[in-house]
Amino acid sequence: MMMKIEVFGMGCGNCHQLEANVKQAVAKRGISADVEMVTDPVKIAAAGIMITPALAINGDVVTMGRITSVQEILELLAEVS
Amino acid sequence: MLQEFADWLTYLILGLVQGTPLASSVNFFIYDSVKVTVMLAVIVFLVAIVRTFITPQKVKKWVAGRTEGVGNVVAAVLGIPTPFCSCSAVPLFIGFVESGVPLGITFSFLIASPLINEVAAAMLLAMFGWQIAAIYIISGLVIAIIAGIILGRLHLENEVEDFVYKIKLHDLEEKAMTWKDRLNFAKNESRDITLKVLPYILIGIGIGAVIHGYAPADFLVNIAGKDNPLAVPIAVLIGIPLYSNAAGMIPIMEVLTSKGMAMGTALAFMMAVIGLSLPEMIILRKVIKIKLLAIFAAILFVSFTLTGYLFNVVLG
Repeated sequence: MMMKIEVFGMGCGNCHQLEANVKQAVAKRGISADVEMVTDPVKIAAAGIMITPALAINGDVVTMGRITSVQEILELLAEVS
Repeated sequence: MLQEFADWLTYLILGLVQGTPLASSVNFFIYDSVKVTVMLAVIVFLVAIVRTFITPQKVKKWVAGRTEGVGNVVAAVLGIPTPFCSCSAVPLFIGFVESGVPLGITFSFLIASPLINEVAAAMLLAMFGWQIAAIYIISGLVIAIIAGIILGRLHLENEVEDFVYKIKLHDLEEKAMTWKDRLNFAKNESRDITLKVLPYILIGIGIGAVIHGYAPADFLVNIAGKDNPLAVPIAVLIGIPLYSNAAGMIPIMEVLTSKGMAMGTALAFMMAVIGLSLPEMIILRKVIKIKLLAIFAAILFVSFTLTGYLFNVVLG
């Protein structure tokens, strides 16, 4: 199954940094994943997120309010696959 | 010790002649940048540890169901360590309103969170001393509490975009953190934030150092001294739309005050710059109608201006 990764944020620098980290981690791990930027504030809030940037893997929000490092994303990816 | 280091570097290593404007500027630059950087890294680390205990999800639960007054105080105090990037304003606002937090209490949090931040507090502490840092934190709290109470009393619930009340929220379970996680988080925050604001600090101190070395001491007394009553509102009006971080501004503020700008005016300007910005207002417009946005900005304008006048009198 293709992994689904969502990056939540309304488009500030922090969110783009997180998106870049996610892409780097995905490439490093050599998996195929669907990486999506969620910028709609309603969708962000509805997911229960109050502070961005946030990261969700397969629908589970794993980190909020910080730019998760490539290393940490790799660990999070290892947990689910 | 730090002054000796700056002297040693300026006069012995760089070989500048003591007493010249250039030597004075360079010495000032070295001393200030080292002091500010160290203090910033330490304070950001400590606040980041506190932050691991106070997530917005928890704040929401702590303030929901509180009455006016107590709720505003709790929300404003919890706003201090909470990090804030203007892009979080909307999800934060929706999350609060959806969980039944009254509008006034939501605003107390929304005002305190950017207005009182650890980077500004650390830099004021390093460059102006603990009294000014304390004045900044306490007046920021008072503004957030009172402005929130006023906004709550105005009963502007209809001025929130209708869709906000219709959103169904997913309640997130937060992962438990161990002390190792907390320390690790604080270490990363301290490193990331310090490195991120360092260029702004150095540019700010650099500009400050030039003014320090070359501008005469009474340069700003007439324009921005405490005897010009228009200086405060004009400084606030210029500061509100400006979007800058406290990091680059406080070093310039230090020099401006040393050249005759009144302390209250400088504080009011700083609060206007970090407390509210055009990008933040544009983002908030997605959830609140123009009227509420205008009232919100006007209340902050008046609050910052009064704070400026107050401290021009008290500190003058």
